[in-house]
Amino acid sequence: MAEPIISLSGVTKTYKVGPNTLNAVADIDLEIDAGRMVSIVGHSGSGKTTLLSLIGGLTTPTDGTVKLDGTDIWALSDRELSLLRNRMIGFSFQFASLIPTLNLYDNVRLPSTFDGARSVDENRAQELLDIVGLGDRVYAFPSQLSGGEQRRVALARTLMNEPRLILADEPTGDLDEDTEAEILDIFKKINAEGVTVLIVTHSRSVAAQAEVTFKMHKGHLTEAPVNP
Amino acid sequence: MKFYGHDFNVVGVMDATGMGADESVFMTLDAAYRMAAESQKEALTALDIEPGQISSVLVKVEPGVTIDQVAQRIMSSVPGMVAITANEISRSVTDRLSGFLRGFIVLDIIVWVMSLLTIAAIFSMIVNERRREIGLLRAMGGNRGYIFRLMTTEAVLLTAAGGAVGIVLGGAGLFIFRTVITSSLGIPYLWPPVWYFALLVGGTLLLSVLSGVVASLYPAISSSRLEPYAAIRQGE
Repeated sequence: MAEPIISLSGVTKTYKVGPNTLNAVADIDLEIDAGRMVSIVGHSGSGKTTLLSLIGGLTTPTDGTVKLDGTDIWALSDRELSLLRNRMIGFSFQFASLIPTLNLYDNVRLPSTFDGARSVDENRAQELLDIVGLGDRVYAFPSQLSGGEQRRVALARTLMNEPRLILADEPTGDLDEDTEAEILDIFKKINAEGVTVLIVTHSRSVAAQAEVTFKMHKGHLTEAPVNP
Repeated sequence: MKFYGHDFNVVGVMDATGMGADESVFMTLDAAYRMAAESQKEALTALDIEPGQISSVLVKVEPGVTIDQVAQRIMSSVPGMVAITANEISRSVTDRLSGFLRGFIVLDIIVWVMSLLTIAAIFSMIVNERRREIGLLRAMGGNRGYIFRLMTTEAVLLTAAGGAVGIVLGGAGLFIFRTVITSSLGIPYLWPPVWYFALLVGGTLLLSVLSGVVASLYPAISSSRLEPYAAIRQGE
């Protein structure tokens, strides 16, 4: 049987808040097979973003192990973990997340510059900007775009290194319905190509686009009824 | 030009040196004796120089012999003669300047330390303002070394540019106010040799860049150690 692409065992993340200890993520076990589209739904402060960052190697767990493709990511050195993030994961954040001093082409191309061993396809950034409908504005800067356009560019950047896993944190937050539908369509297309997509959201309608939905509440994860 | 009632033709004016020789008039010994003789009748105040009398002799030392050796030999062979070396003459200028130089060095050190603290504070602010950007770069695959190099490279470029602008402005200021400076210090304005000028410019640039690197070290290290998720959240 193939190794799940995401495997969490007893993952806990606690924060010290004054004299108290806050369990942002509490003893979570989770396995997600490659090629699935999974969502985690929960209220603000439920710990879903922290969980996503633990899976993506952006924050260190207080306890437990996080494995991606069978590799315990927190056993890796900073250099190895950074390279793994670069090659395997595409992050989509709840804010536009573009570098304001770079034009759209350079923003999209940016992830490909971190891996010296990788041969960069110079046309890919243009192709991706074409896919998200901004191929004619490659030399524009983020400040010249609307919020929805910035999200689409950020999504193009997420796909630059052909990640096998996409971790999306509220990818459609603050967007109008049309743009939200466009973004979700792109996620579905990517998933149809075999890329694993994990979306955390507070929106049940967004979560409903996934094959499997988990519910997160006060740091605990429960598998919710399959999409309403 | 008339000295002590005697007319002279000026054949040239020597560059200023900042030493006592700047007040001197060079003429032949015969002309000096004639001037002294004529001054008894022609000048308001007579110049008393007996024929054959001299007050000082400029000695050109041959290659291979040190000035001090010659001075010692003159003083030991001619009783009552005092030999003054070129170094002793220039020492008066050096003495005059050394006080200013000490003051400038202390001022320079104070300004340098303040610059270091200012650059460090500016880079700390830059790191704070760019936490989200740093977090994003880490999320995309930038490792700690990349973030460290990014910050220090920025410091090098900024301080090199700042150093270059400072050199140009400082040089321009010195050139524009050279008359005021030289008259207040009582020394002539002398251009340094090209190699010394290049050394000064290169040294200043190097010091600027080193200052930038040193001052940005702490912000660069602390930014590279930020946990990506924490950096993104704190930058929101």
